[in-house]
Parts: sequence; C-alpha cells; structure tokens
Amino acid sequence: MAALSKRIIRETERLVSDPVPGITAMPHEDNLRYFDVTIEGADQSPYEGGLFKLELFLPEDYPMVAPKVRFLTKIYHPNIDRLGRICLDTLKKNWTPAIQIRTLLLSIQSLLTSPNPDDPLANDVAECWKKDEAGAIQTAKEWTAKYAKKE
Amino acid sequence: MNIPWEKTVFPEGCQLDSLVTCTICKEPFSAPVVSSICHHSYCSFCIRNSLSTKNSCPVCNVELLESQIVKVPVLEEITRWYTFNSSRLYALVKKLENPDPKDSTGDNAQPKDDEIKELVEVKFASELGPRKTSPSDDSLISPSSNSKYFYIPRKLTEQPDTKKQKPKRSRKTISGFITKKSTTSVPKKEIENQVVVISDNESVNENFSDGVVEISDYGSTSEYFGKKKEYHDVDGGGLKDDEKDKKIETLDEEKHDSLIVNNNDESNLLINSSNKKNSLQNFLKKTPSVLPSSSSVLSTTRDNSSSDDPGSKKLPKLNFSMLSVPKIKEKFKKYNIPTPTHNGNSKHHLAAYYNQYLVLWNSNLDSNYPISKAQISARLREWERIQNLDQHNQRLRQDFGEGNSTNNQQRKEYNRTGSRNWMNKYKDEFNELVRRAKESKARSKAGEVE
Repeated sequence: MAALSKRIIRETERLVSDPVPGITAMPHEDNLRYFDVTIEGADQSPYEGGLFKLELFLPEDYPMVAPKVRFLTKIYHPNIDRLGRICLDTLKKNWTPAIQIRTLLLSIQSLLTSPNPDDPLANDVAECWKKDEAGAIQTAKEWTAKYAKKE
Repeated sequence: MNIPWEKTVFPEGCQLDSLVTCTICKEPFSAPVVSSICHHSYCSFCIRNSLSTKNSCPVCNVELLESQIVKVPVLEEITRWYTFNSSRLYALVKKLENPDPKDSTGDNAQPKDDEIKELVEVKFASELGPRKTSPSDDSLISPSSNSKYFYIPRKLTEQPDTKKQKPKRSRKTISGFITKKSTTSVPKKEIENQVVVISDNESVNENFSDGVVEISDYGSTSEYFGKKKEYHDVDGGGLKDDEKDKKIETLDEEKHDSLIVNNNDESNLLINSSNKKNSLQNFLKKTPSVLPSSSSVLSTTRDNSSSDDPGSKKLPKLNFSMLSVPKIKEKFKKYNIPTPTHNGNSKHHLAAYYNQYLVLWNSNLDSNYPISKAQISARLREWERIQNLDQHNQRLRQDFGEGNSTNNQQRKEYNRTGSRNWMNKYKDEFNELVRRAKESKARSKAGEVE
C-alpha cells in the first residue's frame, strides 16, 4: 500500500536523523522493510555495557500487524529464547498501529531492564531467574560480556 | 508534512502539524473520522482497516466498533488548508527570521510580534482574496435560507445584459472566504424571510446557464470559512448529459415555488443537501490558488457525483461463513464490485478482497473529496497485487520452516539452492536444536520423578 509505505519512509527518516539514545536502526539498502537494529543494554541492568544486534522486518501489512523482531546476539533473558525470539505483549496481542518502530524498540529496551520470568519464553532461564536471581543476573552479565561486546 | 517548525521562531507550528497527522499512517488526515467512544481521530481508511483486524482504538485500546466512528468534515478542511498552505507559512516565518535587506524598511531588527501578525494577515488576505477569473465570476447570487438553495444565474458571454440587471457579485464573495452579505444584491430581510430566487434570466434568455447553490450545512465548515453561511457555485459543465438530467430535480412546489429551474441543454444543476459533498468540491475547485491539488481529484470525482446513485451508500459487512462462492460472486455483482483478478475462486481471498473493497469504499464516503470508482478499483488491484506477493513469500517462509524468521538473505539463498542444499547447510543447527529439545524433555521428566 503506497500510503502506508510512506509511513515507513517517514519513520525511517526520523530513526536515522533523530535516533533514540542507545538504539540504532538502519534499513537495508536492498530492502527498506528490513532493519539492522542495535540496542545498548541499559545502565544498572545485567546487560549494561552490552551492544545487542537485532533484526526487524516490517511485513506488508505493517502497521496493521506488528513488525517481526528477533535478537541476533545471544542473550540470557527469560523472555527471549535462544533463537532470539522475543516474548513481548506489544509484539503480539497488544500491537496497535499507533505503535511505531521507535516505541517498539524502546519497549524492547525496557524489557531488558525489567525481565518478566512469570511469562517466560525461555523456560530454563526463567526457572533459574526465579530460583536464583543473583546467579541468573550473574550469568546474564557473563553472556553480555561474552557475546555482546561493544566493538 | 514534515515542516521543521521547531527550528523557527514559531515552534508552535509543529503542534498543528501533529494535530492534523493521523497516528496510523503518519500522514495528514484524509477523510478524518473520530471515535465516538474515546474521541481519537484517524483517517477513515486507516481506522477501518485497523478495526477490520481488531475492534479497538489503536491509541487507547478501548473497544471500538466501526459503527462508532463519525466523520469530521471540519478537520478535513483544516487539514487541507494546512497541507496547502504550510510550506508558504513556513517560508513566511523564515522570511520574518531573516528579513531581506531590500524588503525591510530601514532596520533589519526582528519585527515585533504585532508586526508579524500584521504581515501574516496581509499575506493571508492576498492569498484568499483575488482569484483567477472564471466564467462564473460575475455570478449573481440570491441566498435563501429557507429553501437551502441558492439560485445563481451565471453570466454567459453571449448574455452581457444580465450583468447590468444585477450588481456583480465577486468571485471571492461566492467562495465564502469573504462573506459580506452586503455585497449581495438581495436585501437581507428578503434573504431571511422567504425563498428568494433571482430568476432574472427566465424571460430574457433561454440559453442561460445557471446554477443552484446550496448553503452548506456543515456548520463547522462555515465557521472555518468565516462564521457565515457559504454559497457554493455548482458547475454542471463537466457532467455527462444523462447525469445532468438526474440532477435536475423538480422541487416541491410548496416549498420552492419561486425557484425556477431552467432545463436548457447547458443544464441547470440543482444540488440538494444529500449532494453537499459535490457542491463542496465544486466550490473548492473554483479556488485553485488556495487548493491547487484538489482539482485533479475533483475532476475525477465528477463522474460519480450523482446524488441518486444507488452506489453511494455504505457497504455492509458480510458473513462469509454463511455464503458460498457463487453467492459471494452474486453479491459482488449486486454491489458492482470489480471482479478479482487473482485467486478468483478461493473463498478466503474473496472475503479479504471484499473487506478491502469495503474499507476503501466506506472510507471514501467519509471524504469531502471522494475519489472516483476507477481510482478505488485501481487501489484494490494494487492491494491484490501486494497480497499475492505476500502470500507467495509466506509460502516460501513456511517451506523453509522458519515462520518467525524474515531474513531476506536466507530466503534468497533458499530460492537459489533449493531445499536440499539448504537443509544440508543448516542440518547441524537443526540437529543441535533437536538434541537440546530432547535434553530439556529428559530434564523435565527427571524433575517430575523427583
């Protein structure tokens, strides 16, 4: 839909010209619906100092359906599984067309600071998180240092 | 619209910018509607499209049905005004920031606030005031608030004496931007108290082309145009003859006994209140300097502008589970829907196709500037094309078994090498996944035993 892809152009422009602190999103040159995203782990979180790569794809029906987002960097988080899939309500049933890429990435960033082990996607991680939170946070820190190192 | 107001001396401009922007498409509203539940506004097309997937307001998530949205004509007018004038406004503000030395009257200091105001006002007046002349420039107008109809005998070149019979009414007065009623030839009392029609040409000239003009009952619109009722000159010139005939309606004698409609072939056009959309278009068409791009839209809307066109009603939602494919096709014929070009026989596709047409059609009805049926059909075909592509992609995605992945690179690779090679390449990863799955299953079993 021509009218809606204008929205994508507009959003992309703003993402590039006026980026959210700690988040970058760059579209691929050959496919403007496919974005390379990086999110910095927030301070005071187990992911502090990490730089996480994600891929984001805007389906044809966007914004009527949510973008598809996936972590490419390994991350130890109860709501993100080992394939990088994210369990986030706004990506599923709470998606509305009023949400933009920018707001969505912000909510993913905030998911990193506030993991929700009661609604897990990675069951093993969630269990560790519930049983031994300090240990889980330690593991998350280790994974961050190991896989999500900044260049 | 992306006018960078925040970088000017007038950063408040961006508030207006965002006020007339739809939260769904991030474009200026087109055919804006408002939710009667939570009062959020959207383009009609956007919200109908959104409601067809989920019955809730995209902003506040409150439950919202399609029947609960209402059109807001005044917002459409405001949006259009802003769209057409924002860049000029911006240029003006920029000019105030950096006054041109030759323009300034001595000192280059920033103008005071009221000076700015004055300048802006002057600029507006010059924008809204004089227009290009048109054949109807010398129209005479006789408003009648009772009948809601205005009868405007339009001066033709071959009828110069009309001009003398009645005082001129300038174009801008008719357009409603400057609405001093005193310029009209009819005494005010007359306007208010009775149906008044100037039929100066009735005896004089059979070739007279004239129009009937309606007082808009968009109260809000008239507010925008100057807190007075506005008159729309209606031009029948672009219509086909048979459509013209439809328009020429015999009025109720009791109410409109003094209204005279000439049935000569130049056609009189009587637009009644049900056809106000079109009169508004026609009205706007005559103000090209203000709304330049409207003309292209309007020229195409003329062919479906007939007021008694049975197709100008909203389409109903259909329950597709109750309908067979031939029944659906019957419905398509009944509603005059262009037949689908792709996947014509799948019920699923027909349902989606109908729903898309419904959204396009119904949202078009919310517009003051509806597009033609041909344009709707073109959009529908475009939608169909995209759907087809999308289905194709989805099938591919399912084939390589990673519904969640949207990696284009992977898809390309898959296309090139075929499924076997692809399987070989990712076999290890797959085996690793299987191994992990088994492990975790074993672990959970062990957990149960404990």
